[in-house]
Amino acid sequence: MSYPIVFTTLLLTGGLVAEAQMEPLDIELPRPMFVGTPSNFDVERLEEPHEAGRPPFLAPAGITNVALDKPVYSSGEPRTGELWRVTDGDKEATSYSVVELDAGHQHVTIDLEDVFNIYAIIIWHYHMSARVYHSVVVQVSDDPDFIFDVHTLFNNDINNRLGLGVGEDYHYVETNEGKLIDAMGVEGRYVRLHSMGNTDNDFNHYIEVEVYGN
Amino acid sequence: MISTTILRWKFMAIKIKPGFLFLVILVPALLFRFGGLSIRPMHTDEAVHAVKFGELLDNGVYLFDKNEYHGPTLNYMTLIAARLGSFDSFISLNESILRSVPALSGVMIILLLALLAGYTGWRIIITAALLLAISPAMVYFSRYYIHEMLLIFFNLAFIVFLYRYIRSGKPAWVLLSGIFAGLMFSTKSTWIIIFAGQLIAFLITVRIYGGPKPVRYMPSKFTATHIILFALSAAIPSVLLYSSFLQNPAGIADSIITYREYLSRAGADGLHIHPWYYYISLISIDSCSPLPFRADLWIFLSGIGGMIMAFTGKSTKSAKPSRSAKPSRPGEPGCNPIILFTAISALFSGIVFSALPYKTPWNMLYFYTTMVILSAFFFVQLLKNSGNTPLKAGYMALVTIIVLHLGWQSYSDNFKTFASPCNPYTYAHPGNDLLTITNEVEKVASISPEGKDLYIEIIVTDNGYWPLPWYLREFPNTGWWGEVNMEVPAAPFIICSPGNLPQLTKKLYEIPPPGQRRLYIPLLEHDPELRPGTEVSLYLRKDYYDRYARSNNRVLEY
Repeated sequence: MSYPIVFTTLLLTGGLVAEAQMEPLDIELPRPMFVGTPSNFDVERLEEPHEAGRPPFLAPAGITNVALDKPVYSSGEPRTGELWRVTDGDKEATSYSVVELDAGHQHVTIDLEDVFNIYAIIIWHYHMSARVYHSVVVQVSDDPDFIFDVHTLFNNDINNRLGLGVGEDYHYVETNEGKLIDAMGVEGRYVRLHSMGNTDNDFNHYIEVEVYGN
Repeated sequence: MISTTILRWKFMAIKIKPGFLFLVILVPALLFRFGGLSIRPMHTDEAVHAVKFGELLDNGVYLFDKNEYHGPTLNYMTLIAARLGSFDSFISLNESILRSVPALSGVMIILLLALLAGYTGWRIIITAALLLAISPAMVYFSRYYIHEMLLIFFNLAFIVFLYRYIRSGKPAWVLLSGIFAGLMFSTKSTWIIIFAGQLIAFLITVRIYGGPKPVRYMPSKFTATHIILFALSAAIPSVLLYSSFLQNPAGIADSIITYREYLSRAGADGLHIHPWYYYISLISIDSCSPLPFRADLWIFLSGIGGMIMAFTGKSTKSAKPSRSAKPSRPGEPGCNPIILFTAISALFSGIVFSALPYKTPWNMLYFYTTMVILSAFFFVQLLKNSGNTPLKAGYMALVTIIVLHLGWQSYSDNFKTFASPCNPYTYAHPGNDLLTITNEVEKVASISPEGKDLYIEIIVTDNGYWPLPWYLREFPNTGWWGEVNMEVPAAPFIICSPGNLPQLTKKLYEIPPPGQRRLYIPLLEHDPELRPGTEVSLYLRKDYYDRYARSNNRVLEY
């Protein structure tokens, strides 16, 4: 997926004006592992899967994936895989790249090692098959314990099973596009992602998480 | 046998039933002018006039602006059309009702010619009516919501009624002539150029046909009362219109002051500065057509022929204008005063409009109209002079080819390439991208919680967002900006020209505090053009985009 005209226009404009610039992020997507998306999930408030590709989001020029190769912690030891794979840049849906956490409420935390303005977070839980993860909550904070100054950016825990508040966001079907979350430029060092099983099993999985900021 | 029949044909049909033929000609005139009036996207100028009219329709207020928009007749004539069509608000309007006003004017121009048949003969009138009915330029701008066709109509009515008055002396004609003179004055400042040429043409024509006494053929009942009647009938409508029916008396003075503005701008706007041969190039060639030249060129060339005939008096074997000659009667050969008058005013307007550096395609229309009449004169004389020779069959075949070419060109210009840059009458005309933008706005509104109250920010350099205000007239919370306004909050839907992107980025990602810098997504893969060369980008805030994507997952073809 390329956007030559948008890129060219923005690059040309950027060359002429030394001011703030906005540019589309060219997020490299992993290979799709299935064609089409089944919609027979028995999940409340489910986002209708869309087959058309997602357009690139715009962000201030120069922002990057600040989570790449950053340390990752989790609420429990992984059943399979290693936590560093969550930020290793490998988004392919292979058994090698996936990290599996125990059943029930689990979370992973990425330490960005510095405070960043975060504009977007993209999550790939598991896209080898179509499935929906339950109670997905994404938070950013300066506090590694997530007690103070916590910004909740996404919450589809509509029944408040995690006790983090009633979510109003939609459930979604995992695809190779991942889930793009608007972080609204929030400042923070730690990114925490919660979940509580999925429509296929009770376990929690992560292939990759990208955090775009500056 | 067939050729013999053709050779013997002496316009008998025209002589027998000219009125019927005239009505037949009205059929293509009406079809070309009123068929599919809404298919062409609105031009910037049309949209500007439409929005101006919207204020009159919604609020009952029209204020003449001496700097912009031209005169009030277009607005008030449209008000009549809207009332007749039961359109009671700006939002309810459509392109067809707006364009029906110039379209009707285009038809009235043809109908008016019938009033001259008694002085020129039906052959010229019917030929001119046919050429006008299918002329590409006349059809194109009869479907264009601007003042030009009204100006031509009012001017022709003024001349026709004045001529009938001169020939008959009946006060009813001078009354009508005065009214249309007033309407002409209330339409567009360029009337003065047309009128100047006509005044010169009138004086020369009277001089030639009137002999030593310039008023020799003036009516015997030509009195000062009639002059006063003319002045009053011209003044009353113009005073009423410019003053918004006495609600805005300042409009009367402004109707005079406006000429100062008009003169100061005549050569100032670089966008409309064109070389002297601009109009000739418009009517001569285009890149749409597979043919080597445009059909309008026939009009121009034959019009030149008619002009030469008018000036040299060699239009017939015997006719040579003489100072003692009376105006020709119906059916009589010869160069009558109407044709001479037309030729002189055509020459004058052609020279003046070509010499003025400020040019737009529609400014040539008066010149073009006079050339159509001269063209008709040329063809009629050509056929008449050829007698019953084989040459006549050749001329008739040529005329048939020309008529077919004109009809095809009109169809192509108005129903196929109506917005294409290859059509010379398009003038920075918006294309179908405009409809794409409008459709996207409609779709986003349909999924937004606010519906059509959706807040939209439109930022186009130099306020070049027209004609979008027409297309987004149902969206009251649309902000129109020539540059990024940092004082107002960012809208969830932003349409922005590339030049404003740095400022927009600052507004979205530098000014708001962390946590309030929302993510935007370009709605279309390729930036659409408002007009040729004016691209805009459509940005949708991500939460709205998510709704959009959920509601119609096949909308975006990324």
